[in-house]
Amino acid sequence: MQSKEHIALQQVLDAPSTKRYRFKAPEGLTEETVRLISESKEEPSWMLELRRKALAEFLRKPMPDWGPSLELLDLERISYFVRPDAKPNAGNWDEVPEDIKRVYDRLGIPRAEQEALAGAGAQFDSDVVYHSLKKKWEDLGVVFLDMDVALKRHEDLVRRHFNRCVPYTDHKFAALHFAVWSGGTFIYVPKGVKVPLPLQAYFRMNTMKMGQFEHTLIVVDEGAQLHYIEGCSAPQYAASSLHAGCVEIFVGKGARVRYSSVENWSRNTFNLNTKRALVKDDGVIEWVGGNLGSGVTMLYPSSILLGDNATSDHTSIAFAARSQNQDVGAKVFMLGKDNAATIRSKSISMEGGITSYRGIVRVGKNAEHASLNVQCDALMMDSRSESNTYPIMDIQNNTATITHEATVGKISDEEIFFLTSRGIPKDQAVQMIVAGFIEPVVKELPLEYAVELNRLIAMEMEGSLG
Amino acid sequence: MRPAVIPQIRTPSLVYGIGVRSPFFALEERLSLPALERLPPRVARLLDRHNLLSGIKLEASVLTAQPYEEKSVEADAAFMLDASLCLTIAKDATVTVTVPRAGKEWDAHSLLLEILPGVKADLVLRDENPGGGTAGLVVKAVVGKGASLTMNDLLITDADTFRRTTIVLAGEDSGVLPNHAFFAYGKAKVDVRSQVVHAGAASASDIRIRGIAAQEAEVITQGDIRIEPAAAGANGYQHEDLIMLGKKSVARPIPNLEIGNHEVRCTHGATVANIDEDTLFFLTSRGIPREKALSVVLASFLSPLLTLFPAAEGEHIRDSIAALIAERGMIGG
Repeated sequence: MQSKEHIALQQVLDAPSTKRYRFKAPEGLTEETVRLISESKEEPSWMLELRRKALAEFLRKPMPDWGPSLELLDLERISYFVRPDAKPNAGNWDEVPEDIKRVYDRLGIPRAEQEALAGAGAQFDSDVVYHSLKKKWEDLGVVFLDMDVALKRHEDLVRRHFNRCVPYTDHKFAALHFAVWSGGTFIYVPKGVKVPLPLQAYFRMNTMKMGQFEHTLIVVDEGAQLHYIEGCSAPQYAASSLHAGCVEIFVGKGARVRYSSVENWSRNTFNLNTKRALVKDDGVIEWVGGNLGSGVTMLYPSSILLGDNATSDHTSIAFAARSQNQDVGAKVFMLGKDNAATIRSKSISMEGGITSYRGIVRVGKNAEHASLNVQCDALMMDSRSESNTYPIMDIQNNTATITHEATVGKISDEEIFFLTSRGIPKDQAVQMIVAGFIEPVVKELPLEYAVELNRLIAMEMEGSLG
Repeated sequence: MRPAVIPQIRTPSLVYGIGVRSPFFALEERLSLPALERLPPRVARLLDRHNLLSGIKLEASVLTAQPYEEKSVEADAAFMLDASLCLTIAKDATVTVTVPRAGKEWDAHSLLLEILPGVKADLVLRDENPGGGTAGLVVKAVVGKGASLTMNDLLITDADTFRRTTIVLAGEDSGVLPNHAFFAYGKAKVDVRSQVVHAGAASASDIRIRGIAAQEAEVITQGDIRIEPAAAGANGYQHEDLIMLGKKSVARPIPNLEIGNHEVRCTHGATVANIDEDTLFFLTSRGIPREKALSVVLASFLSPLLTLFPAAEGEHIRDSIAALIAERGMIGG
């Protein structure tokens, strides 16, 4: 049986705010919808042109014929643009409508912003309703804006990077994203500036049968440093929702970027996200991810190590319970000399859930002395569940050193007996062992998010182990 | 009772769609799928019962393209794979099958095995033309209750070739040990796929692939372990280790797992590296010529698998590799 604390948290996540939009585009995607989005944002003509080309590409490309089934995703029954009844980009939480603010309060966003963040943003459906950066960082030249606002204020900087890391031709849902993107985050950190506190954005998809397509563009200049965190959730509905966001990260020479995310969409959501980083000489990209929610997730953060001595580190946990299919992984492309990468992936499946690790590692012809280690561990809690591992390695330079290992199994009876024989109830013993299993991922998150991630997993497992 | 249908591994599009292409991919596009009815009844039943005709087109076409010889084996035996073979191994035996040299652009044969319950079988696959062109081979085997199959497969080639192996552990307590060793050189394109499907409870497998890609050879190795929901207590292991000797060589290991029962233990691993220069220096600094040192190191790399071959075969492989290195100098970039 779930504890009161977990019931309260679940109610926050699952309950929609009352009908809270001032505009909702008709279901289905047409060029008219794309034009409407662009005109309502007063975008420059090159952006509209890009949207139109992306739409054409989306309509041309077939659905993927691999991975989880997307049969239940009816793209004609999704509304691609929903504007909440709230002032965009409020700089003060008091300016955010009370019922919307209450959602973020219960999720702890305003408190975290005061105590532990350099800045925060909150997106509700297709618009950013709150955005703020502490003055100290603004004075140092750090830019942290809603993507729509950044396009107006820093058009050249945006144009130089937008759609350059992830081309709209990449795959069908990248094309869809670039056709209808709205909201999201733009961050620029100037040369040499190290931001020690994280910047955070939280995405809430409130309206039924909608799609959220936020665009996150991060440019960290030479020698700079940034930690950026994204969280997300949506109420539980019977009809499908779609999330096809995009994250583009440019890591300059000698710069370091950590991107952390805890994705907790509702089970009716299809989460088809694209995340990619381009890393220059001596640059470092770190991906830390928790994938807990959504009915179907296809998510493979990619690192392209362009420069020499560039490094990437992927650490993730995927959790799939009843009616969930978490198809996640990592891609690393090593193109410079002396590139190094690690991938650590953990997954837990229970009650018929399916987890799959899907990864690609490619070492280019000229990528001398690349080194890579991949470790995938999967825990299956029962025989109704499934766990799959599909790694591909394509090594085209013979100076590379590549290792990959994976294990799949259940919690051993000896481990459970060790704890229960000391008076610990069985379900608590299992939770302790699971917490130990995911600890390598959780310890990479800031404390508040580590606690949150542990809480969310415990909530999923509570009451379901007999 | 008819076993559950075993669906194919759900990744062929991924493998072929993201720039990692088998050298035979283009061929597959041209192949049609001959009807199951053309096969001898016993062969058709064996393939159909365990859904062994599914899979990518290349395998299915090879399986149905040639006439089959059906034989029962009750003692050690040797065969030349002129036609395709369907062997029922009814008693403990070592079966040696010689794979002929490739005649046409992509010659291929198929070998079907049924290991009856309780039988311990050893299969040795050897080339008629080691070091040259060898026909491709599709092997499908069904292992009965309490039976075991050890399969030792060796390739030394400078020409394109493939091995596609599917072993179904149909019976409880059945086991298989597929060992694949190869030395690809020149401009060879080698594609080795070894799939084990655990359908029986407490079944066990240990796929070992060790290969060397020298000069401009390109190799793809794919080890697949699939555990069906009914296979409680199964143990599946897999390891792919590749050495890239040539500067222009390419290695593509793809170890896959599909696990449908939680009362199992499954692990896989893959490594890709070059010969450690420190190891070579250790030998050359003691007066051993570099070519000889390289032969010793490569033989050592393959030795965990070579020890599983009959002694004469193991010696033959070591001598063949040493001869190639001596003939072509230091095989490398």
